[in-house]
Amino acid sequence: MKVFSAYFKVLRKNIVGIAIYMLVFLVVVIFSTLGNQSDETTGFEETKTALTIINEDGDHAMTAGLIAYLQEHSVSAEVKNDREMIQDALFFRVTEYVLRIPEGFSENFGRDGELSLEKTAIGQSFGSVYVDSMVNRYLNTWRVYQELAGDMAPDKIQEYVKEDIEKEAAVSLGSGDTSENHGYSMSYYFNMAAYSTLSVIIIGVCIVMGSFYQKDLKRRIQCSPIRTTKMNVILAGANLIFAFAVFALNILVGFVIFGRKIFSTAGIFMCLNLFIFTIATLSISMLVVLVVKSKAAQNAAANTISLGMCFLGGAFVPQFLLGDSIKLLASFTPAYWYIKANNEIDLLETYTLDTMQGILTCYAVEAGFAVAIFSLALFISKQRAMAGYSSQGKQ
Amino acid sequence: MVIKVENLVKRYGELIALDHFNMELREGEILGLLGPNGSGKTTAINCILSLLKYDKGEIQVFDKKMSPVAYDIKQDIGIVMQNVAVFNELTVYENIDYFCSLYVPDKKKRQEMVEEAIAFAGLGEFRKFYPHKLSGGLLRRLNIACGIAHKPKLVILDEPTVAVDPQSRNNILEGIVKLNKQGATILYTSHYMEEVDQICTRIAIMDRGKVISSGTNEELKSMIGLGEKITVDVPGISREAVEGIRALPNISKVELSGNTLVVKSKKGRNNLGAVLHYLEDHNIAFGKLYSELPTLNDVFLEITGKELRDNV
Repeated sequence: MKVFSAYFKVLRKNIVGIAIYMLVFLVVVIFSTLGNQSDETTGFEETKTALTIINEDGDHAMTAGLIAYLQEHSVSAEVKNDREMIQDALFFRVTEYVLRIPEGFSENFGRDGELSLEKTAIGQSFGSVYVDSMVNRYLNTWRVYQELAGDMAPDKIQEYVKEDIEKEAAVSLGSGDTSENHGYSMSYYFNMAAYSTLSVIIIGVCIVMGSFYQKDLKRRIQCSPIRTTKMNVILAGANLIFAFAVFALNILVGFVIFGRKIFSTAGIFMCLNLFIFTIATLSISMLVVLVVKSKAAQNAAANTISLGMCFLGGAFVPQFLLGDSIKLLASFTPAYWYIKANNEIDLLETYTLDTMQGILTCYAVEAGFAVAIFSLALFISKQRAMAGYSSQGKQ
Repeated sequence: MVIKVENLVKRYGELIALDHFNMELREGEILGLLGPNGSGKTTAINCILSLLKYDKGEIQVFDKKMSPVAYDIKQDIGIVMQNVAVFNELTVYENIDYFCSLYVPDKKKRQEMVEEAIAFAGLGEFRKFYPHKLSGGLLRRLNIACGIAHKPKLVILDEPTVAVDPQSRNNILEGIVKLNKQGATILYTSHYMEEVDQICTRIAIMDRGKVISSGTNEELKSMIGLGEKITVDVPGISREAVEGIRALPNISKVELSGNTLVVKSKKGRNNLGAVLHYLEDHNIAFGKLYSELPTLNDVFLEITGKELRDNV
């Protein structure tokens, strides 16, 4: 167990260097995530059209009712009753719709020789259509009451019409997962976590294993009675604990940002995805330690691998913006499948085996990468051991 | 026999690093493996420790065949590498404790051993220091403490005094003798003949991958048949007088360089007296006079025809 504690003493001694990476990337992740909070439409508010009403019909109940209704649902814009002034007001968007109620309009409504309302509006603007719709609704409702109860007093008809047209149906916008709406930002956070996971684990493992694998130190350990297998198992266990700590830290930060939402169905699947990716990253670290010898080169390798994989995989730039050739290249890295899985989880509404087929495939590919890279590292290690008991040079 | 190496051959491509290397280390000895850089000393040690594969030959340690998985043999070996091999992230105490733990799992027993190793290496006041805070000499001592804390029966030291100041070197050499007195058998490699001369009970001289001669200090010197070297200042000595000295018994070589006469004698007593008598009898005035006994460098020169120092 002394080997185990020495591992963590070496790690602790280098924690500042590792923590700086973690800290910098967490700050970037937190700010980027908060800056990318969901912009999805979750409700709506009525927009009001600037409306000018020129009433030449007097204060008939019908006209008064129409004006009151329109004014309630629009913004009143005062424009002089002058053709040129009206044109200018429309041009400068002082008003969007000018409605002229001609004299005798109410008197002749529903009779032969019915007068038309005159409108002047800006093309087929949304506001114009909206006002048309309100006017039609009011007049049609009025017409229904007038035809069905011809002897009813205009004031009474106005009461009924007002009551009818103010009835509104409740409208709600929703998706199939409204209670656990995970939003865009959580997948964004998990995508960015690929970077902190890759850089911190590769650098951490390289620093510690680099110490244990220093040429002379390694030879001294080889001269001792401790079995190589036992030593490797202890170091692998320690690496695993370190990787798990980095994973836990990522989840903890996620919890701080998203609260209980991280334990939603989507959140749990993203956490599982991050865990598999963490294991894949650990196997990459083992390979880097074996292949890249000097500390400076290991740092460079850690940065290149983490930045490269994240750019190619779509952590910084959404995958849908990447070209096909880039995606093809990226598909040979676990980061691509990790981010693909996060994006698919984000879009998922229901969780069944059928809908999760793509996500499970991504998990399997990531796990496959972990096994393949770890096997390659073992193979290289074994080959070196067979080539000479140690990597001893000429004397 | 603690170590027995027979006909060891190690090749690096075309280069033969060890050419039928033979060596024996007996219990209680300090065997010095002396040779110039590149003579194969470190390669021989790496093969003995199974750190390096070899092409041919047999190695036995504690009368058992040595191999990378001979963990029972490794238990009784302590190794001090040529380069300092410690963790920069651990303190002096933690380093010694870590390396000792590879041999001694029992914590209490180990604690005592670590304390003893610290005292042995004189690192008491530095126990909480990190290696980068230690001087070169202290680092070397830490390197030794890490190799001997578990009280091995066999200690192999591969040039432990390279780049060490004279004071630290003396401390290290004294420590090695102390270890030997405590019962450890020691294999010591160096290219410094004075060190080997000073501490080793037996010496094996290596050149071009093989042991060219071995024995005690005296055995090696007597083997080459050289006696003392007499150097005397004789201003204005005549050619006849030089020839007269050359004709004296046991004199093998006489060289006159300016006013300095160098007389090399064969093995035997009273050579200095004979030269002095000759000078007095012939009224030859002389100044500074001194006599030197043969060194290991003379032995190396006699055997290989080249200076040991030239190769360093």
